Amino acid sequence: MVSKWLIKENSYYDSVTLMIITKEIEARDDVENAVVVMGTDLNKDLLNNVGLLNDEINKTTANDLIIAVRMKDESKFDEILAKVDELLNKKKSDAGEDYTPPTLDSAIKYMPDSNMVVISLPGAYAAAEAKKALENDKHVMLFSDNVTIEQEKELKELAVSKGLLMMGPDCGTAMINQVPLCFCNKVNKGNIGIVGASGTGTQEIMVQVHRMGGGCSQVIGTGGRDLKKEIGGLMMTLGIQALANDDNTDVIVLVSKPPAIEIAEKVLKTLKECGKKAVVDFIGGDDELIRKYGFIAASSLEDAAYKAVALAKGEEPKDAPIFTESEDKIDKLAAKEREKLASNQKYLRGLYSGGTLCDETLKLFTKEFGGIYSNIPLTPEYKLEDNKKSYKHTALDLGDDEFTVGRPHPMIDSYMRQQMIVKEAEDSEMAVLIMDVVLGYGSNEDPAGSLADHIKLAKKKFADRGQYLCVVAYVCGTKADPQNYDEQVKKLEDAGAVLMPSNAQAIRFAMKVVRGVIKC
Amino acid sequence: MIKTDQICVINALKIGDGVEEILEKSDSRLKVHSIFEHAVNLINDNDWIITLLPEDYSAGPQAVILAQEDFAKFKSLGLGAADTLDFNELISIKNSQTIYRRSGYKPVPEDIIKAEGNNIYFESLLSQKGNKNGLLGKENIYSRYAAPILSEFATLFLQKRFDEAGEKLLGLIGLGPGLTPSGDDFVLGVFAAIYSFRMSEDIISGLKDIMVRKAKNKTNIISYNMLRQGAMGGFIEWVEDMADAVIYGDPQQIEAAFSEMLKIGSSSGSDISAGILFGMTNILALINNKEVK
Repeated sequence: MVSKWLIKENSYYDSVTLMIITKEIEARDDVENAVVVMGTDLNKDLLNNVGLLNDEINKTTANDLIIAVRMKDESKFDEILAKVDELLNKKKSDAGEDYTPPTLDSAIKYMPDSNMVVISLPGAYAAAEAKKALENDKHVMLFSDNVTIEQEKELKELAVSKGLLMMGPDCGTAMINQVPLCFCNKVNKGNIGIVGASGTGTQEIMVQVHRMGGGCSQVIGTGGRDLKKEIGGLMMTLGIQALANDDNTDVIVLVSKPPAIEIAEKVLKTLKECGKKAVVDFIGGDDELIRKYGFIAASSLEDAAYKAVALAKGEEPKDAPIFTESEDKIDKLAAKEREKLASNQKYLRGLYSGGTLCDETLKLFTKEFGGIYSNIPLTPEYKLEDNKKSYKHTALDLGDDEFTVGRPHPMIDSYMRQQMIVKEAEDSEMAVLIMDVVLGYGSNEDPAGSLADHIKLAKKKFADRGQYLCVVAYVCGTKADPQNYDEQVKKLEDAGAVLMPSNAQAIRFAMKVVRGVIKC
Repeated sequence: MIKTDQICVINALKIGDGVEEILEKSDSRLKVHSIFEHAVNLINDNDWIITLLPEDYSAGPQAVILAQEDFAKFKSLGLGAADTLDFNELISIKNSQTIYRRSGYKPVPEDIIKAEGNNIYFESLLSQKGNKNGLLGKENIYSRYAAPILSEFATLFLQKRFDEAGEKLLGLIGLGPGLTPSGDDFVLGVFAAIYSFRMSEDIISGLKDIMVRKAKNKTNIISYNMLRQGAMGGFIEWVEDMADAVIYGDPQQIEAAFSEMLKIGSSSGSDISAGILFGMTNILALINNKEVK
């Protein structure tokens, strides 16, 4: 082993650069020890302790930079010097293993070849960082909300002018080149590309595609406001064009809440021009318009996946079955649940972590029963007076802003849902409690486990009153997800919940239970 | 001397409350000390530094904040280390906002139980997300060196032997990696905790005196300027926000403040935070008369 050193007198470099140099030198196989410090007395003491002090280093002052190295082969020190010079002058580096850049600037400096930036910051800062990323020619996924629509438009126009993706604001789900971003399930690789303006809607389609034996090529999120008139579907059209140019994508699925008619036409026209097969789910929107452009409309998120998988396999797409199990078996199960209810139990209560899953429930329930109250109602007359107090049939999106102030999203933190389960159990008129459990990257490590005790407690409260509570749950996840799908299902079943294989089937089953106890 | 007659005067957006005094003492003539991508340090004959920063950086007592384009304009002058300039000919602080240090008007903390809970939360956050290249690391040469010093400080502090405790802190100055060595950052954090907690003058004066008089030869001039200001209760806003959040805030405010702290240098934000945590822990132990482990 030999010791080599470099001294730069009266030289000041920012700490990030010094740290990168240290990592760079330490990463070499031929280096045993490297110290990059200012020449203070204490640091010289430490260099002495590790056998790297010599007369020349001892003469340095606190304003001098010392780079001291113990290495196997003296002749290789020139390589190190060249690398140090490059780093000091160009301030450019490769990615290390355990360095987390504290700012976007240092991240870009640290990983100059990166091409995407994921931003999750308070809204007030998010737009400025997104703009900076776009100006540095990086694609952006903007998880943050509270970005104004004017800022969103400016960002997306800048992105389009540069041919970059600007996913968001409020974009929770994406998968680019098989890399999951933010909330995302682990699914098979395949030939179905999704452009989604809704996070859990996109996750539900991904999950169902996977379970049906299909797979996804790319999943591009747009943020929930992209199809509003003010934004004009800028990112959905760019997303479609990106999938059109992606050789791994044969079938495109679009999912969003119903857009304004002119925006829908613009999006469908772009889809037509791209020439690929497509399924469109404008959840509860105008199916005729979709068919007019020659595309397949979906009646539910599960149906969108079902039809996309058929197209991907070169088969004729058909409607997804109402239930995976036979309707007879489902009817018997529903009747069994219904029989246990007391005569005064009549209402459905939904506690959702996924906004689009809640929205789908509202639509399917409204189609059958005429209406359901919510904090995100389909029509204003069904808006709850107090969003934390259910009224008659109610389904709540607990991921909506007012429930998440000062708290993480309910897909991460079950606290709010735990409280709401216990609160709902005080209402003896509730008959069915329905809920989603969303698995995947970004979600709670054990969402079912965090809810199971509260489900049991709610059921016990009903039992103590001589009543019964029917709990219906849907686990939106795959067996490849990090949470262990089978264990999650078992925890809910052990707590007494009836599990259904899709969000649409869960609400259909819940309606079967409720339908028998009230006059429609 | 740089010829400035062709240059339009740049209007500063904000200045720290120590800037005017430095300019007065040096008759506005300063030397360029060092130039970084996002900072330019100017120094007077008494080794006081004024730091020019672009507007998205946090202001400290010796900082002058410029609009992004003005900062770029200043750098485009092509100044080099040791060049001399007349600050007032280049930059006007007449209409700038002065950022005052907060140590003078903080309320004395009343809810000690809340501060204790916050401190535990802060410790957990720091251990999960802090950069462990400096004193925060458990197994590097710097933290091993610092461990006995911190232990002795804790004992002396609890025994109210504040001057001796201050001497112990001096033993960390100049220790570790970074432009501002980790030990300096850590000590700054201890001061931030002490000032934010409104500790009495008899505690502060001894520590301050030791730091101002004896730290100068133990570290580089940039770091000494930071330390000297910290010893007198002057910190950049992010540091004050961090210490205040631990004492008066809630977990969300602590997380928000810590995310800003992580923007400071490479490991500096983590090391300053570790100093705040250490300072807070010892202050709370002093109040509760408990031994720090």
